[in-house]
Amino acid sequence: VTRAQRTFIQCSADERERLLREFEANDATDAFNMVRDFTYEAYYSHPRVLAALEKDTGWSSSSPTRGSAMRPFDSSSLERVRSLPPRWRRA
Amino acid sequence: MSAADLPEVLVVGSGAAGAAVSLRLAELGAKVVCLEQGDWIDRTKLPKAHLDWEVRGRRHWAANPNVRRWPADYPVASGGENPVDIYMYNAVGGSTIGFAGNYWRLAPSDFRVQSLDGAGVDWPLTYENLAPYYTMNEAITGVAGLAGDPCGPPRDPLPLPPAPLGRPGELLRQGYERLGWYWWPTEQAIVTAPYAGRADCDNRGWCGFGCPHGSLSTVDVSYWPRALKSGVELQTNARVREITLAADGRASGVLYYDESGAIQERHASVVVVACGGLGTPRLLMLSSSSKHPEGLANSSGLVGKNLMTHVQSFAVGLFDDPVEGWQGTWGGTVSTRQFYETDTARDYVRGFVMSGCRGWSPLNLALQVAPWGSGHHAALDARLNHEVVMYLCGEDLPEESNQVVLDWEHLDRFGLPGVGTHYALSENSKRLGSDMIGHAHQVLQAAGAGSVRDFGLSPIWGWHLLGTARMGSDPQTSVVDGSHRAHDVPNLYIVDGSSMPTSGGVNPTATIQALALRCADQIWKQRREL
Repeated sequence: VTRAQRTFIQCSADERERLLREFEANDATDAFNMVRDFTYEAYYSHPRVLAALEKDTGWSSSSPTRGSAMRPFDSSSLERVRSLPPRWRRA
Repeated sequence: MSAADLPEVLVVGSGAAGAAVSLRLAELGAKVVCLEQGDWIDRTKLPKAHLDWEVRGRRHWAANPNVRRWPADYPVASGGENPVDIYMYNAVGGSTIGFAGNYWRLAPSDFRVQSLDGAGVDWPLTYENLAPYYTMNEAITGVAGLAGDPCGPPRDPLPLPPAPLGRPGELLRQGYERLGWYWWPTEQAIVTAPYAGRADCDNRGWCGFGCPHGSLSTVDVSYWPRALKSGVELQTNARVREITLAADGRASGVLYYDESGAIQERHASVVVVACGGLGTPRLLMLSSSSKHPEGLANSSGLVGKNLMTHVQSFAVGLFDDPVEGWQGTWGGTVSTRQFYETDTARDYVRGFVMSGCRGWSPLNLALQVAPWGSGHHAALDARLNHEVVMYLCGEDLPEESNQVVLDWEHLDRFGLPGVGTHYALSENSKRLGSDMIGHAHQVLQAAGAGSVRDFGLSPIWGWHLLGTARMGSDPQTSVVDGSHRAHDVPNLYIVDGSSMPTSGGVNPTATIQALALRCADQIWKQRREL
């Protein structure tokens, strides 16, 4: 950033990635991993990001806080297993 | 304090076992006081009450106390060839407040491991001894499931119907059907219909990150309301420092720090230690004296030894179509005990279960598979809502070298030592684990997964901390007898995960609570001689 005479945000995407890769390669203190984890945490808790994910992948990030109706269990699917012999040992 | 003020029973720890032994004794008529080093959970702070629940789950709610650092936590250190990542909570409800509710009974063979398979040790009780207490516990807890699994003995019906399989479970079910294997809906400590004044599950998923709906049967919502109504006195923020002894060698009560840090003393006729697989040996070792230089109730030398964690892993299948992995009880799909019993054709003894879960959530998955940089979004989008997760859990046999010790280099806020764990996977566990992971790949491929990844066997996940004050008939090879009574101290009982002589191959909470209910009955029967 000092070499570029600009703030990190003012750098281009390619420059930012290059600077971060330098940071990662030369980090002896685990600081990069901390920055990376905090960045992921901030990004993946932002409502706009979560909304975009739901649109793109179908993953509903609001479901864990909102909930939905639970359907009943269908026990008819157990017909084959119910017919199998016991599989446990007497002791 | 007059004799009339003495609590008949003093229970240390309010988790799965402490809650159960307290409730049962109170309902039998005993005067019970329970001391808990933590506090009630503020349910408005449960991660899943908030949209940023994943971040809260990694920080404020982190399962490792060294990360979470709540006031009641004490330091835990991990060493050995396969260090254990310790997961535990110090609060009303103990570690159940962070569990996902997978709820298994042991099998009859789990109680006769030495006799049947020539490994580990036998328990001083049988499945039949414990079965009525499993049933009692399932009714108090509110357990969902279905009787009739041919992989277990006949059993009483469960109080609530199973959760639906959902799309991930249906895919796994199809895989099992194609392989011709056994499968069954997973039993869970989750209220799937209105029950005992509690609301039915509303499918939020990610159960280990708190259930704002109160449907997950953590003992702060299942046992404790009933225990308090039954007259149990629960004192929070009470960190027990040591168990005190009378001149005759009997336990006389405890010394503990209150919230302000002041030392308090509490007397009792009977003391029950229920502090979990790490907390219990810690307290017994802290209670050393000239008569018990290696720790209280430790004439066998086995306090803190034989730590078992289970052999655990995850296997994850990638499917072409969306799997709707974002909803439903986390552990509530299908499980198999196809490989639970020892098979002499395999190169290890004992066995394992495989339980279907759902899919990973965005942050969790991004940290796993999406490297930062220009390829990040493509890597995440390829897997999010396309992965089905299986939890794998196998038996871990007792090894004396796997142990818990006091760690005087890391102290809690009262100046008491933390704990250190030393752990290595045995050769049997490594072989079992390798076979377990291989079979999980087989199921996921049969279910239609295009590729499968797994988490291997390391690090060791320390959810299930067992065996460190085990029960047995021989005082030379166990800490407590078959009624959980310490061999060395006649009015001291120990009941929690530490009591289990062997681990079985399933999540242990149901067994811990059944043991605690049975322990309460044993105390009640023996009360005249205590």
